[in-house]
Amino acid sequence: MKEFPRVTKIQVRCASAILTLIGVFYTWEALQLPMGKPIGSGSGSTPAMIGAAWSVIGAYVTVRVPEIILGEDGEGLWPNAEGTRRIVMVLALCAGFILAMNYFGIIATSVVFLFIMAVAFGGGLFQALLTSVLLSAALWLVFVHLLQVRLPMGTLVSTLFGG
Amino acid sequence: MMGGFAIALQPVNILAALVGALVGTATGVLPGLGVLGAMAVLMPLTFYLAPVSGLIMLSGIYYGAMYGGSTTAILLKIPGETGSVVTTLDGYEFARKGRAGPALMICAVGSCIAGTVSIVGMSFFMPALANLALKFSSPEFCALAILGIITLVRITSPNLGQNMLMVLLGAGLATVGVDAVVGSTRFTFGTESLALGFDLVPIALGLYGVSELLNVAQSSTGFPKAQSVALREMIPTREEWSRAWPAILRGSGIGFLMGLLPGPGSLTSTFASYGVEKAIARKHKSEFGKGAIEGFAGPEAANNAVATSALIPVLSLGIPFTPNVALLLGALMIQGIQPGPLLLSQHPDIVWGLLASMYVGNVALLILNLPLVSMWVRLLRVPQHILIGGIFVISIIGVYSVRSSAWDLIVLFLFGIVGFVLRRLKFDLAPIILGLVIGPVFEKAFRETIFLSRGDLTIFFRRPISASLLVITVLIIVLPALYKLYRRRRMRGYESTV
Repeated sequence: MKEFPRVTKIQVRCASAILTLIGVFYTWEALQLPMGKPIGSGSGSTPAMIGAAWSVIGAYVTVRVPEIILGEDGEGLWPNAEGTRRIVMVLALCAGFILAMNYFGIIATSVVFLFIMAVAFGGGLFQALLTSVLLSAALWLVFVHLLQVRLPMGTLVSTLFGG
Repeated sequence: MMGGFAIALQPVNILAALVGALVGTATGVLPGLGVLGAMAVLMPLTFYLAPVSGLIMLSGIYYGAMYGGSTTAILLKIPGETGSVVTTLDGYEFARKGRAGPALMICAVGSCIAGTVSIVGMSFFMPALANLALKFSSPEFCALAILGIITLVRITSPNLGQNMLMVLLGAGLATVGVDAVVGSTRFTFGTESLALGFDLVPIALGLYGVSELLNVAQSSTGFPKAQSVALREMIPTREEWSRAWPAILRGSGIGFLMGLLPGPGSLTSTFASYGVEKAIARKHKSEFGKGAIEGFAGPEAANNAVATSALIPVLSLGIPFTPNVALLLGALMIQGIQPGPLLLSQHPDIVWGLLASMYVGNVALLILNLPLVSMWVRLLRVPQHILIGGIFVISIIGVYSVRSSAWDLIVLFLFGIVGFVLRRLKFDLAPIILGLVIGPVFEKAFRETIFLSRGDLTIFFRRPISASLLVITVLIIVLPALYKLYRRRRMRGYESTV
């Protein structure tokens, strides 16, 4: 259990408090919207009700935190240092995918993304390269050709190939 | 119904049902992703088809993912979704006796029978409920939305406060963007991205798909390994069949009836079926928990029957009572179809086509999945390093393809992180989806009611149906609390007597 730190009541309380604060801010914003005539028919009325209930229940949940019982799939436990590193890496790769997609196009980005992911999760170099190329080609066939989805081909690719 | 078959048997719709069942099973087999995750990952694919074909495919995905969930419950003791939890009790134990193949066969046949029983029932119930729903107006829909929310909040997990907070978070997210009633923008802070609002697909996929992938990524164990099953080993013995089929029929009936009620029927119906089987068992009572056939045949049938009959309230009233069905409703709305009392009269092709395609889908699932069971097992053996990246890319392309918006991708990963953290903190995520889908239904109905009554809230109590629905809602809140109080007092009385 030392490797996977347990979730504490204080952490749950903090999360509930953050959600409550968002609720309070949401309520304040909702109250700036028109309530309509008769009152309740305007665009701010339902958000105001939702926000008020959100704030009150959020405060209640913040105060009354139940006992944390460990569940399936690591519920009630935080990832260990190694796990956290992997999550950060995956999220950084995903952010890179979103940023690179518009420049290099979705296919080239997918190949690189899949290759790095495969290597990072223990795949061999050749196997990673082969699967990333094949999978990207399959996705291109399904989405672009079969389903006629408009995916970014990439400004760089368009400039280079005059498309 | 014949018109429905004419639609369902069109080649494109048969193909949609088959592809849906196949990809749904493939995704459902992957442990952890579950039915909701599978539906969320694959939902964007359906938007490129005609509404009826898209819906048929999504239903196929729903069924397929449920079947996939049972496969992992039997082979790995990992329930693919909540409805398969009971299957792990006896199904896995039965598989451990070397009978994994027959267990899968019994589940597949049972699911097919249960689905068919439920569809027949649905064909009779749908028109009747749609006629009743024609008596519904805004106050009734408003009350029904509240009833749906409260029921789910009350039943899903014991923490009422946390669940309610999650519903309100979902409902709050739904209000961001353009106000559908007057067309003005809300909570956008002058940004174009927020004016687009929060779409259901990236949020559902983020909360269920990405958060689960992050969970798998952080774990060093990865996806578990399953034992292999050959087709020739799948035929159950005569005795096994004779024990299974009565349980399947009972489970089908229980599941069908529970799907009509508000609340997560999948879980409750499987436990109810298990309870019934255990209660009426005589000869094999001692086998329960150690691999009793009735212990998984009945609940699996109930789970599949409930999946179909749970569509009745959503198609006829437009109110979903479970997150899975909420996703189906969201897909319908994205396709420009408004479920509700007028759906049957305005889009009979969709309703009857969907019902008929369910017959086709059920048979397709049986024909396809049994010979392919070894392939599903092999899928579990695909190395994690290939699967994780592949599912991420499919999720990204899927979400991007809906609105061609990079903002949706940011929402996808933002909610992936939020979902991951909230799950660790033991918050239930299903109510967020429900709030996101029911929130707009409630808002529209509430504001219409206020217009109708000129601000008089007593309209809710002056109309018999809405008053009854609100009374039921109050009872759902109050009765469990009263029962708890009564039990506590009784315990105190007992202790003082001792």
